[in-house]
Parts: sequence; C-alpha cells; structure tokens
Amino acid sequence: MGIFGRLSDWLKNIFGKRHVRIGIYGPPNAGKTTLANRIAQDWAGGLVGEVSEIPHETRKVQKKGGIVIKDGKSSLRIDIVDTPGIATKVDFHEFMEYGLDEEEAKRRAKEATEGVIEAIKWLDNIDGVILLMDSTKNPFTQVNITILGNLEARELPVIIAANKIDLDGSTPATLKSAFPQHEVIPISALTGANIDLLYKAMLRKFKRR
Amino acid sequence: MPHQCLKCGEIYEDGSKYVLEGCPKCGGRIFLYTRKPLPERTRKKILKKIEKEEIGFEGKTFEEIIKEIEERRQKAIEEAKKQKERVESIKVEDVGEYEINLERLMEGGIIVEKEGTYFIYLPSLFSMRKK
Repeated sequence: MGIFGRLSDWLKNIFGKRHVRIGIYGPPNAGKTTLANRIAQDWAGGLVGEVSEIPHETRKVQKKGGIVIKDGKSSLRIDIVDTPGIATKVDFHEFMEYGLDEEEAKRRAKEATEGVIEAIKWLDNIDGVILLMDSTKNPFTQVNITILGNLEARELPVIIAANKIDLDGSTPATLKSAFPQHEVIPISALTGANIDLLYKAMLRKFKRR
Repeated sequence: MPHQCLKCGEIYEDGSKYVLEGCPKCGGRIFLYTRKPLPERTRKKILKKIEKEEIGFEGKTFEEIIKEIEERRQKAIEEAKKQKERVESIKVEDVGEYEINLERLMEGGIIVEKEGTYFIYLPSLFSMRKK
C-alpha cells in the first residue's frame, strides 16, 4: 500500500468513511422496496422501485445513489441497494394464487431464483446491511439465521429493522430478544413510524466503515 | 395504491387512518397493500397463512418466553447446519419449482440438481471465498 493509501485509511479511521453502499436484505415481502423508497424519498426524492402484494416483486437488484442522510452536523452519503427477497423455496403455484397465469408464474419463479443468486453475489460489493424482517412473523427462519451468520462471517456491519410495526400481531420485542447481539430497530417503512431512529442508527453504524 | 381489509374485503385509500385503527366495517386489523382488490378465496388463503405464521408463544411468564425463544433459535440453527451437508445450491423440483440451499449459495458455488443429475457452474466454484 502506498503512502496515499495509508493516509486515506488513517483519515477514514479518524473521520469515518463518507460514502458507503448499503444493501437492504431480507425475505420476500418484508418491505425492502418500501423501505428503499422511503429512504430515497426522505433524502433524495424519487423512488427506487415498484412495490406489490405479490412476493418476489423485486427480481433484480435496484440501486439509487447520491442519498445524503443527516443528523445535526453528522452526515453520510450512501447508495441504497434494494435486493430481491431471499428465499429457500420458490414455487410458481404461490404466484398463481395471486391471479398470474401458469406461464407468467413459472417465469416469475425462475426470475425470483435468479434474484436470490444476484442478491447474494452483491454482498461482495456492499459496505453495510439493513436486514429487514417482518415483525409479525417468526424470526427463526432459515433465511434470517443463514443471512445473519454469513454477514457475521464477513464482518459486515448490520442493523436489523423490524418492519411492519403498524400491523396487528407485530411483536418487535421478540425480534429484539431473538438477536440480542445485534441492534434491532422497530419501524414501519409504510407509515414512517420510528424511521428517524433507523437513520440515527445508520449514521452510527455505517459511518465507521 | 389502496389497502384492502383481508377479513371483509373493504378498500381504503393509501395512508388511511383505518389501517392503524382497524376496519370500521368488520374490526379486521390485517390489511394488504394491493394494486387490485383480491377475491374472497385468495384473501382467506392469505389470512390463513398469516395467522399460521404469527409468532405465538405458549409460555406465560417472561422466563418461559425467553426459554422458548432460545429453543426455537437452536432448532433454526440446527436446520441451517443440515443444509451444509447437501452438495447442491439449487434443486429444480420441476419447471417453476426451486429449492434454494442458502448455506451453499452463500459460500459461492452454484451447483444445480435436477432429478439426480448435478450441473456444476465452474466459475462460481473458482471464485469461492477461502475460509
């Protein structure tokens, strides 16, 4: 490493990295695109992607750059990377329940599976992760456990956002006690409840990279 | 995009206060953010699925719930470990039906299994992370 590289690392250690790429990961229908859209709208204007009630709506990675999050004097420039939902089983029959014809449902299943691979590959280009979980559902799924284990192995900073606290049956406290070694922020990406806490946590957690 | 009450099917505008307060028509508390209204059969199916997935603990005291959480965590970790014993990262059950082995996939190798035949994507194996 040259002298400039060492100087740059030294400055980053003191002031923190100013520009980071943050991936929003999680199972399908946790609200990843809704959260990405909210962050983009709050800090940059515009949307990242379309949302829908059918699982696996996002089947390709979607990015939005130039987002600057601020809290007082502290600021952080981020690129938001909205990823396809990570699942362990993709079955076209599920999509047919939402009114898709067989051909369309099978195409969606194939794209959703490719989306899982793409999402995982993108982990190599990410500086930090917001792992979005649905606080109305059982957190101990293979998806949540495997992603967390892998993020820990990669030593990537992670914030768990317990989404959908606006829904009946939401138990963010369970998520907190389920993953005590991680920071868990209960939010509603849809209504914006607690979203400020998430921004503060992002500044704290991701700026040190 | 409107919200639909999954119980009675009533539609409410995006951002309606009833999504937080509950449906004034039937008292339902579960809404779906939907582009087009869903028929009753589909709503019932989704509602059943959501109710099945709700966390629900049997324990009454705080200690009992914490114990249950720990047991569920251990069970989930063991299930995830079992995946490591499988060689394939993606299993094609049929066209449109895929089973994904996240443990394997996250290690970097793409091996697809279909009816006992394994397809190995070599570049993915060469780019695997060394542990």
